[in-house]
Amino acid sequence: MSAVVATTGPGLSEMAATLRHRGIALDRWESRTLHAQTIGRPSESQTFSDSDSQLLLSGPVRAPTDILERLKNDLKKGLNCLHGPGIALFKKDHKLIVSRDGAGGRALNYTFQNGDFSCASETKALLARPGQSRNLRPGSLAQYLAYSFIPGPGTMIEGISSLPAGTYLEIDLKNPVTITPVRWFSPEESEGSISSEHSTLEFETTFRRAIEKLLVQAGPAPALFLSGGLDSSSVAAELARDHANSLQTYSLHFGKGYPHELEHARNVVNFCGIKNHHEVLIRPKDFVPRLGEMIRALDEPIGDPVALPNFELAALVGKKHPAVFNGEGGDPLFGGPKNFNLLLHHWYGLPRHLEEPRHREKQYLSSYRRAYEEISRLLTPEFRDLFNAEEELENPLTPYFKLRTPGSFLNKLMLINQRLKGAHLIQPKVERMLAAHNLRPLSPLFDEEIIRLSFAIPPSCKLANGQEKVVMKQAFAGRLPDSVLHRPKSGMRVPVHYWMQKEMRGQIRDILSPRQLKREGIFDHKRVKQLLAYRTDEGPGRYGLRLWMLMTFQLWKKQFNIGV
Amino acid sequence: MKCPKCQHKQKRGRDGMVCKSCSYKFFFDPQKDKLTPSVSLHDNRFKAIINHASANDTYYFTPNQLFSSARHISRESKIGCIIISVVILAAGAVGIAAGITVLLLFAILIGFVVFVAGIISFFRGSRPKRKTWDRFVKYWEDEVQPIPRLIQSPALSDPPPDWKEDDIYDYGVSGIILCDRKETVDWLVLNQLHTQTNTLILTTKGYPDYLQKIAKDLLENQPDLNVYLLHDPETAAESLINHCFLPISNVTDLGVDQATLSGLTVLRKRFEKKELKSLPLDTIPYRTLSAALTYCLANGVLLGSVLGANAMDSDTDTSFG
Repeated sequence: MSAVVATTGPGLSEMAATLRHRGIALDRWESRTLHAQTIGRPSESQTFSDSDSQLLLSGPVRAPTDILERLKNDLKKGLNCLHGPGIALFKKDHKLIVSRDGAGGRALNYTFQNGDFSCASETKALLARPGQSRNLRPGSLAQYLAYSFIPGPGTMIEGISSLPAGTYLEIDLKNPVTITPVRWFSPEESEGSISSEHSTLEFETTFRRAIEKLLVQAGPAPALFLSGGLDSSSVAAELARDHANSLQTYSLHFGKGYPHELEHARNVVNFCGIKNHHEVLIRPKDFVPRLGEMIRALDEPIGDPVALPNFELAALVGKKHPAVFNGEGGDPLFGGPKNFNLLLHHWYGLPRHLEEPRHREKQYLSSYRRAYEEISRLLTPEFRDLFNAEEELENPLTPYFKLRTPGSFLNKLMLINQRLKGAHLIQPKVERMLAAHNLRPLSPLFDEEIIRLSFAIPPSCKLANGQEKVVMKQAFAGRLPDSVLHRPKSGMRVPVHYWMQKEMRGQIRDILSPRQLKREGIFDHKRVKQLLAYRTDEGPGRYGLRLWMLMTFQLWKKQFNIGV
Repeated sequence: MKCPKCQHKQKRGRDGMVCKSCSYKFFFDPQKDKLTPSVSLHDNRFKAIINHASANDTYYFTPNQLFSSARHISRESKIGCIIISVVILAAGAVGIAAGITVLLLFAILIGFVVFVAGIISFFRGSRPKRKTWDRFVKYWEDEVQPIPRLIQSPALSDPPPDWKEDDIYDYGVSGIILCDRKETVDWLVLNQLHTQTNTLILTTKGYPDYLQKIAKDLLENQPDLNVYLLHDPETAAESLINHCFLPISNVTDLGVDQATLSGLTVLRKRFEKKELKSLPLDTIPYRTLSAALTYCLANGVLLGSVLGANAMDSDTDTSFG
């Protein structure tokens, strides 16, 4: 919902106009050196000012009344006093501080071009600036194929960067030149500060507090996306303690013949005494006409097909509720099952792998199971020559594996999950898909206190004996059905594998037509043809997902008129 | 001969053993190197076999799998012989219909003989023998280069380095898979089955030995940990259990028997009846086995029943991605 645009140059009105879908124009700063505007609901913009400083907050951010003094005394400590998802612009004298919340609940992209600094919640606002380049950054496409999102700091557009979660930029308004973001939110520093005996109780208390803080935004009848997995079920159980009668839960399915988790969601609803449960059917014939709208709302290509159910469900829920709870954050912060992959990779002496430099980075990318192995086949040799694949793909991960703090390998993985996947994929995706329908995401598991807690508890409270999310299972033992607590993680299985062969076969063939691909020279049309036919020399694979990623990219490129 | 590097076609006799287009030096001589009396070996075919075994450079493979791929590729080549025979016969039939000369009848006779020979060869016929094939593989590896991704077992004997983080082994696994042969462990681990299924994979004799203690500790901490047995049909499960380095009392034999392997269409096409009776586990294509195993471990069913239903024998995937 909430958004912000700011620039030291011209074009503020044009930038703000691109984000009208997020709400009305709110607070505006106008000065000789800086123009800024917040957009959204009235409750999502706050200003503070005194004789020599000003603060503009975009988003449902909680700030103490003496926040200006705190920021002036110690900037990093002051920023740590802000809670909730949002962007802060703090101006003092000729310095501007632009900061993104620690959890990464709101995104911010920025650019330094032609002597000006500009930033905005979405890239489309930056593209509206006069003279802004629209050239594709080739390395970002490789990142997109491997990660299914762009881990930053670059974006798909040459010259535009994304601000990492929990960092700020300090800009000299008299002379705005490219600078490196400074980190202010470091939850890993609390590593190991809570003993295993106290971990479950601490989790229960912090989680309850996180939900209570968000309830004020939820309206008279809180709503929840309930998948039937452990994370959203935990939120359901906590909400149902006091709101079982008014809570509205929403689950989705893809029709007869496709796998779903409805049974598990119903078990949770019955077990917790929730009175209002809704099951929503999502079919290609309903959403295909709205695909372009969805891609535009995504703002940048995000290849995770779960964006689609987020968008479709939000269309329904947004008509009835101002905000909706979700269970995002459980996997990245409390040890999802994918971490075992990286851990077990270290158990065997595999000379061929372990002698390779940066084998951890390679294994991490491979464990994503996107199109990492596909890049050399999928991109034309000419396009591959435009970037250094190893640097683009592995560099975002390397600093994390070299850190001294956190010391445990599992917490290093958690940090990567929170800062990259959480802040560049999960949260922007959910926020943008919901904002398109006037809906605000409420993600208690991505609360800053919860993030700190996830590093403070011992790693063995996250994974133990081959089981994931141990502390959550302990906290909800007896409060959720055993079938939900102990079933293996399945994730939301969006049936793109089948849709691409059946209901969406026509669309995907049009979007990836050989003539178009040959003209653009990015993708190898012969390889794409193999994927479309689901016939490759490698045998069966996740070709539906790869096709979905290609489709999203092509539609995005067309929508925003991106040049190569 | 087709050049495997640039796909240029040239005649062995006229153009020699060097590619006229890219100067690639051919190694196998199709006139001398024969997989069977009727199927010659040339570099392009050899590379096609390696490509098939590695699923286009995707998987590591054992010598058994390479041989299985050699059977697959050389069998396909007989289809061409049959097609040619049918074309000759059809031409002859047209000749008869048009009432043309005795010479054509002679051509038909030759066509018929080739056709029958092709049919016999197709259904019963000469498949490459293992010894012949192994000789060619050794010849290539000695003279040209090691075959990439071909597993030279044991491949996992050396322990991993000491990691700077001390929690690498702290979080356990969801199961242990015990195999009868080192080669099976190498095959599964090099192809990442352990990371995908969150399992520790060893032989019943404790290979690789640096993981023995870890396996024992795991079982001590988790006495109810799932332990699975995965072995060739010819190996007796009881004997493996009796001689296992781990004190296992409750073990699930994943249950692949000869009847299951013989029932797999993909193997029936490659091996003769008597060969099917003694096939090792690693003749199953990796993708088929890994998909079936992943399904079995997640759903608590036996491997034999999944493979037997041919559920994983076709172009299916347990993933919905």
